[in-house]
Amino acid sequence: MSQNPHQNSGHRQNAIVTIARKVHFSSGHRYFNSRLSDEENKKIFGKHYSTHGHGHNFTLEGYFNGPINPESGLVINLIEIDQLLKKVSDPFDHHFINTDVPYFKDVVPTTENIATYLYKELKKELKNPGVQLLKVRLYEGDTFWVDVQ
Amino acid sequence: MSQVTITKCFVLHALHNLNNSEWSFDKNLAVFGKCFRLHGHDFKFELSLRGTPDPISGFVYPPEMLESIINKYIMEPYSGKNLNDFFSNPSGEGLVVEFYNIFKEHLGEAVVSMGLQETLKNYFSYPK
Repeated sequence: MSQNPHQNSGHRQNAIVTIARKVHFSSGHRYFNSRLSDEENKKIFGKHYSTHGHGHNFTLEGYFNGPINPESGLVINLIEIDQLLKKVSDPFDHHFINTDVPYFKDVVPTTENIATYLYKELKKELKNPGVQLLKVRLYEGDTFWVDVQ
Repeated sequence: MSQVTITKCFVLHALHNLNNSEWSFDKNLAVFGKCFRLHGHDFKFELSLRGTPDPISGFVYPPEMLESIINKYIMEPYSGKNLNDFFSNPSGEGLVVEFYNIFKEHLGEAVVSMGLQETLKNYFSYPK
């Protein structure tokens, strides 16, 4: 008798699988600490310090893990992940982070700080029981990235 | 503030060939094949550092200082050079270990790993 190609071999029952999804956004930011003098800001941020700031194309990757739902065959629906990633990244997309995202009013919006913030926001917004946020990777362009887990 | 890992990429345009100087020409050719011939790559390295973003600057490591260390210890000595003049058998595996140790010496414990995309099909990393 030939094997049913659709049958579940049983190996999936205890498997914890990681799923990753990305979203792109573009933002402006300024490396500047309001508690420091102009001179001190120049010293710390060097060429990244200017009065007007600069911009980047960012890519946010969310890594989620959990068991495979036996009925849907999914760890988490991609639609749900897309909604989550969009919800946390939308306040940054085509915005100037220092002025438009309240958290960064007094926090320097370096990629390190943005990644940490997005990790916390994603964790807060993820309401799916059984699925965990494993890691966030935030790319600034394609030659620099930050991992938070 | 929690720890994060930052990764900075840099591209080194250089030459190398794979060889074991103690082996015969024929054995080198048999083991290494086309890699035994002198050739070059756009070696794309990924340097990862782990730390807590500085509360004042927001950086794990100041980007300009990181760039100058990469330039001083990697780009200036090795860019456009034949890597065999500096390292014996500079394979991708060997280079990630060599470069990891160079950065470990100059940046200390913050260095967590060195990755290398040698071609679209080859990727190496050390120590994990």
